[in-house]
Formats: sequence, C-alpha cells, structure tokens
Amino acid sequence: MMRRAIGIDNRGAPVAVAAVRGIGGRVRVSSVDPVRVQEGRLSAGTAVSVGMPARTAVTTWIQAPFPSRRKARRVAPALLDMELPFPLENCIWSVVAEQSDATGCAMLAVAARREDVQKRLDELAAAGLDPHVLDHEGLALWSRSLDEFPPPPQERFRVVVYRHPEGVVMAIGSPGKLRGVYTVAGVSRAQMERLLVAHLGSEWRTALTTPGELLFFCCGPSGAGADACLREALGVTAAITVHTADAPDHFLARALAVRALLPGPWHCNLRRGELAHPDWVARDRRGFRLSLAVLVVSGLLLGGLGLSVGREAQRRLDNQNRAFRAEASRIAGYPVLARGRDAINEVSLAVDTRLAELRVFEQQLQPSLLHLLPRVMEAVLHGEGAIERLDLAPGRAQLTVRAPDREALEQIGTGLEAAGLRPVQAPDVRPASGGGVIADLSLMGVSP
Amino acid sequence: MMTGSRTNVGIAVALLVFAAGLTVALDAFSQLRRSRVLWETRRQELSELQALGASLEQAEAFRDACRAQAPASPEPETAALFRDAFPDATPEIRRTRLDRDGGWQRYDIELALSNTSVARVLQFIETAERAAPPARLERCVFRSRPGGGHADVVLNLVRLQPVP
Repeated sequence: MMRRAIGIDNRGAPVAVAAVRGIGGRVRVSSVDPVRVQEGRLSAGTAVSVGMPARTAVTTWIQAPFPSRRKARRVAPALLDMELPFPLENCIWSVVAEQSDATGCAMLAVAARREDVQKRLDELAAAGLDPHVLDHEGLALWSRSLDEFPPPPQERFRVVVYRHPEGVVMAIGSPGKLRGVYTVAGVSRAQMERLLVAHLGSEWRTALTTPGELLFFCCGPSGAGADACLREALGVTAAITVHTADAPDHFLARALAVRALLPGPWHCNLRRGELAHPDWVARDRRGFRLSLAVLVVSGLLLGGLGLSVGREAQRRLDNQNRAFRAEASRIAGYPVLARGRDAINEVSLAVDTRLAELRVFEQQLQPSLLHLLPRVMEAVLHGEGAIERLDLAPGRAQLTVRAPDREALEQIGTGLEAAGLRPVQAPDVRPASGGGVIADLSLMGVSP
Repeated sequence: MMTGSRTNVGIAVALLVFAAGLTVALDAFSQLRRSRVLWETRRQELSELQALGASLEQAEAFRDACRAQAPASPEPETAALFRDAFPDATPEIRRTRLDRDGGWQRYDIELALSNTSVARVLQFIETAERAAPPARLERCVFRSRPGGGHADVVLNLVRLQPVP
C-alpha cells in the first residue's frame, strides 16, 4: 500500500505536480517541484500517476442483459469488443464501474489501444517521467470534482470542463452517473449543443437557466475565466451555474495523485500487463514470493502445532494409562495387564476376595452383643415376665418368654422395640402350664 | 517460460506444504477431540478404582486396629481366662489360620455352661471382651433354669491373634 503519491499534469506550462500523503485515512495535498520529479528525486514507495488523454482512451457504458455482476463481467469482453472501433486484443481495458438492477448490469469500461499507451509512455519518458499509474484523465476529473464539490440537492446535471492550451476535456453526466468524456479543440456552440443533447437530452436547456440544476465545474491550466467563455459558447446572456475548482491548474494533478493513493471508485491504471512499471512488477513479484513464503511458513507452523498437539494428547493419555495401571496393580496386589473396564472388573473381583478375607477384622470391632443382653432382660422383667430361652446373635434374636397374661406380653414387646428389637412376625402365644402365657418371638433389627 | 515454470513449481510446493500442515493440524485437533473423550473415560475409571481402593483401605484399617489390640502371645491368656472364670468348664476351641495380612490365628471358642449364674456369665463376657486381644461374643443361647438367676448357657466367642 502506497503512503505517498504524486500526480502530474503536463498539459500546461509549467507542469503541475501535486503530492498527496495519506495520514490516518485522510490525505494531505502539497505541491512538489517538477524538477525533482523529472530528475527522479522521489522518496521510495511513492507512486507517480499521470493522465492518459481522453482522446486516446475510450470510456463507454456496456449493458449486459442480466443483473448478476459476476456473469456480466464474464461477457464484458465480448460486449466491449462490439463497442470499440478497434480490436479488443490490441487494447488495454478494464471495467471501472458496475451498476446493476433488475433489467441488467451496466458497466463503465475504459479502453486504450496498446500502441497509444506505449506512445504516451514514450512521450512521458522523453519528458523525463516514468509513471507507475496511467490513469484516464476524464475519470480522474469526474471523480475528483464530485469529491471536492459534492453535488447540491438541486443539481441534476454536471459538466466538468478542463481547459488546457490545446483544447477542452469535458466529462458529462449526472451526479450518479458519468455519461461520457470528450475532447474538443475549443468550446463552440454547435459542439456543446450536440454533446449536451446527446447525453442530457433536451432538458439541458431548461436546466441551464434554472439556478443550480446544470453545474459547469471548471478547472485546468486555462480554467480561470471559463464562466464568460461558456456563456458565449452556449449563447446565453443569463447567469449560469459555474464552479471553478480551487487551484484549477493543479486540479488534474491533484485528482491523479489522490486516486493513485486512496482506494475508491473508478480506479484505473492503463499501464498494466507487459507495459506495467518495472518497479511495480518487481513489487508484485516480491509480494507473490512473500505470499508463498507465508503459505509455506503457515503450513510448517500448522504442521508443527498439529504434531505437538497430537503428541501432547497422546502423552496425557499415556500418563493416565500408566497411573491407571499402577493404581489397579496396587489395589489388586499383583500386576494387572487388562485395561479399562476389564481391568476394573478384575480389580473389583480381587477387592471382593480381599474384603471377604478382611471382613473378620471388621466384625471383630463391631459393638458387642453384651450391651444388648441387659436391655432384653430388663424389657422382659419390666413386663413381669421371665426368659425361658434366648438365642442372641448379630442381627437376629429368638426369644421364648413367659408372661402373666397377654397384656404383659404386649408390654414386653413394647420394651423390646424400645431396645431396638422388632418382631419379624406375630408372636406364637400359647397358654403356659402353670398359668399365664408363653410366647415365641422372632426378632430382627438387633443392631450389634 | 522458465520463470513461469519455476513459479508454478513454487506455488505447487507452497500449496503442498500448507495442505500437509493443515492436514496434520486438522488430524491433531480431531485426535484431541477423541482424546478428550478418552481422558474423561480414563478419569472415571480411575475414580472407580480409587473407590475400590478406598473400601479396601477401610477394611485394612480394621485389620490394623485389631493388630493394635493384640499382644504377642495369646494362648496362655485365653486358657487362663476360662480357667479362672469356670474351672470345671471345658471350652471347645477351633483354630483357623488366616495366612494373609501378616498371618493371623482365629479362635472360635464355644463354651457350654450348665446351670450357671447369669450374672457370672455376663461378668465373664465383659472380662473376655476387655482382654487383649479381646474375645468377641458371636452368639449366646440362654435357657432358664427354674428358680431364677441361673441358666444353661452356650457362648460362642471369637478371638483374633496375629501369629508372632
């Protein structure tokens, strides 16, 4: 991306040179000594832009019958070939603007014969100039005039008039569309009428006398004083809307420089292909090589990143596998070769076996049945009963008890429940031989 | 022509290197995605293993607690325990060797007492459970005798003793 550009207009004398420097998206225009340019004393990275005269370069609108811009671009060469008075293969051309709607796509094309471009370059070389950009002067005039003097709301038509010692260049259009660029030897009434009618229709005459509707934007080495000249040429005595550019002799140079520096609409460089500037060819080649190098380095970085990520993932998995195997072997008490779920099953089996072996130690530390015995006895005595038989083991008890009556038996049952012993089933109660009742109780929930 | 051909070779090489690098990177990230699933699976499996290990450690803690309670030579003391409390009784003692965990001897003691004071039996059990190593009452069967306070008793006790 160029940060500085120089535009040169060598139509007048002296040669007009404008330098433009891009600063934070804005441009600063300054003047440059033409001698410095001709001697090639320019800072590195400066783009030099010169205009291609409108008389040797054609601008024309071509219309593709479909709205798709991509398809329209494809047929543009064929359409342009039909429009041009010379074979397209002998031309340097480009499409600089596209406007599509439902009916089709209109494209503004610029074309110049290769030999004309070469001739222009030779002329410039003879004058000590070797431009990087050969811009179409009509496009430059038109786009810059819109930038420097944006169309007011009432403006319907605009004619940019660039007067130089050898003639006049006119860019004619409406604010949204450039309709044509012409070079004439002088501003004559007949020519003006013919051009304005051709491009603006009969409305131009009404617009001419309505303030602000038809604007004449004047510039060029002989741009000053164009007002009277135009009135005379158009045959009107009333006032017409004329705007003269600031520093009109440097207007084209400024336009060329700004267009070479900034991205924007209607960019055009007719110095391309085999006629391209050697510096730019070398720059493009360097850019291309840099792109290839970036591609290779990116590939290598991606590959390296991929390998390291893959290795890290595998390393982490290996670590987990090692930790798993070590833990499995430690718990099982022997080297476990199985992996994953199989290993867990194997270890689980080993642990169950070990737990069965170790259960005896756990049981040995459980609370004693001794603490339960007095509670059972107390429950029976509290119910005025007597124990006939007691079989007490962890988790269960069989009790045969003698009680005076069923009420006392129920009281014993309540006492036993308070002691944490619940009957498994209804007690088997039978009369006792010496009076009272005898009951066989099956109890559970004996918490050891 | 030569330059064009070299340029094409350069483009081809650069594209190949980039494509290879991209393929390796994509493959690695695909592997990473798969690995994440495997890591999670391994982590869960390791957690399961650790849970198994924890249950084993708890059981081993009981064993260690038993070891802490046990003196070196239990046999004379066990005999003395019964001799002092019930001189006429003849306990039936069954010994089982538990060879793992450093070697242990398990004593299953069955003591049948006829028409014995219940209070004395309870006192004996208490004494036995306080001995070192403690005897644990595994089962007891009381059959009352007329008159109260006496019963036919069958006691099952278990003692664990490390083999010296």
